Amino acid sequence: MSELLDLSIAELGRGYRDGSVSPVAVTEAALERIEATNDTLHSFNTVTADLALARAAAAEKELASGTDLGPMHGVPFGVKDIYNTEGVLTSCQSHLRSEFVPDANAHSVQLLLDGGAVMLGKCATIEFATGAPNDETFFPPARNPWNLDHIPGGSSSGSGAAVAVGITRMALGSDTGGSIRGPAALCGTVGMKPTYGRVSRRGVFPLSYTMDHCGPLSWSVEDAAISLSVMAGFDPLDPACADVPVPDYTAALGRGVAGMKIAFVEHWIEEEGTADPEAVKAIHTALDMLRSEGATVETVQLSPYDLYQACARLLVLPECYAIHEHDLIERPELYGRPTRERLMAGAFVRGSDYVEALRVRRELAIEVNNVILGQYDALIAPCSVVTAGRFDALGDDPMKLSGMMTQPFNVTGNPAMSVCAGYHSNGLPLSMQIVGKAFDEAAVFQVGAAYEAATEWRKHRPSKLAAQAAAAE
Amino acid sequence: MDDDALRRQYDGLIERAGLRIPQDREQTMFNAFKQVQAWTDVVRSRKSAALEPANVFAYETVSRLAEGGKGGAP
Repeated sequence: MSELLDLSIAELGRGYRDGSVSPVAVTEAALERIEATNDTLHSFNTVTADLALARAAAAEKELASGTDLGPMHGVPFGVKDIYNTEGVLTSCQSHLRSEFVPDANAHSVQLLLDGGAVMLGKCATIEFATGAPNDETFFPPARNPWNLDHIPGGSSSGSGAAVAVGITRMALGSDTGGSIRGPAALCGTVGMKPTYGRVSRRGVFPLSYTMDHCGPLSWSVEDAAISLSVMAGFDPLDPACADVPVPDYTAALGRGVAGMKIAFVEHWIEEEGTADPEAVKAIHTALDMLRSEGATVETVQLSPYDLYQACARLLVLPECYAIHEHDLIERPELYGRPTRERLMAGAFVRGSDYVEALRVRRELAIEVNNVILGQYDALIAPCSVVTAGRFDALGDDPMKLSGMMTQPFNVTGNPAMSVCAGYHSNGLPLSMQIVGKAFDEAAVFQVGAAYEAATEWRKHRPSKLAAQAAAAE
Repeated sequence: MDDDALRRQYDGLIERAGLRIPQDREQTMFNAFKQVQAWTDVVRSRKSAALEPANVFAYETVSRLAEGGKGGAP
């Protein structure tokens, strides 16, 4: 059974259409793998098995009769538990939302369902997509499939874990400061944060109105390109959604990087100060590979990392505080401590500080978009400069920073994708980040696909859990 | 600014916000306040009044929201 779960989205599509692969069999295999791993991995909060099997059966029938809804037709996917799902509990991992069952789907979920995709259920998150994993939340926190003693990153933690362990090729995440790219980096998957406004946020519980992005975590760059092509698009009812045509993201995947000009921001690594030498070496090795594939790679200078980080924090904190203020005052005990304390820190930001951060934001967006990406086709930056930390080393500082260097591109809104850059000697995944011009996700996929094709990282899966799952199946 | 002065600011903000901080978490939250102050120092500098903030809404984005629709508010 389990080899079905190794098929890419494109391979599933071909198999479905020539009759060699059954959407029902793939969905059954995915559900069996959830069953085999969830007691220890906790990647799913809610499993919608009956719904999934019914949709898979419908997809099988439709495809057999010539009705083709597109590249996600019959493909299973997971949904972060802050996306509204019609008739299915949407808990945000919180006791505050323990009974919330939406009457409509989030826009991007609806697009995927309209495209015939098969929802497996709701993936674990960090409570309200902020704070840290803890045992006070409504569902237990997801764990890292490469080593269960380690965190999977957050806040799209269950999505990253589910993709890495092979339950699904794609799960939805959201990213306000790195919540797609972070778990992707720590779980060794691909994590695509599209341009701000590329994917509708309607029906996704907000953390920060100006910094939230929705996108896919997937096993390969091609899976991400196919998924985004279905979930992206203009939504007039999301005030930030942009009316920009969605291209065929798969078209650029095989073009390689020969002739491309790529910038590399190296000084942030030193400034961040906690980088693991193996993580840094992996990025330099990746840059050498891109050069050997024909790209020109040059080191560039951006504003200090501290400025990007301070700007990001001063935007997110008051925005999420405004969203949660009533509950923080009236029923704070219903939050887990890490989330409650992180949210409460929003009360410390003055109005003028927020406006200052917004003004800095414009300057930083101009720096990345006009100054750097006006001269280069893409930018490489570190993603996580450390591997996944242990649960028992999390500490209790609500403002703790985690070695993630993802926030700058929430500030600027550029598309940014985390890809696996190999494995540390401790067995955990390493990562790097590919950044593109606004609405040029295609170039990000192009670079990512060329790098991925030149490496063997996609041949590795978390061995212990995969073996356990295979034995159970 | 010394810690006593910062502490008075912190106490004032917590009181104004109406938040309840357990006694055993006071120091942690005070440290968080100091971290926020540090970030504030990083972004504050003299800027031209003409430097507008990002995210200034255009009329079109506001008017199309007014059309409403099912499934919007989570």
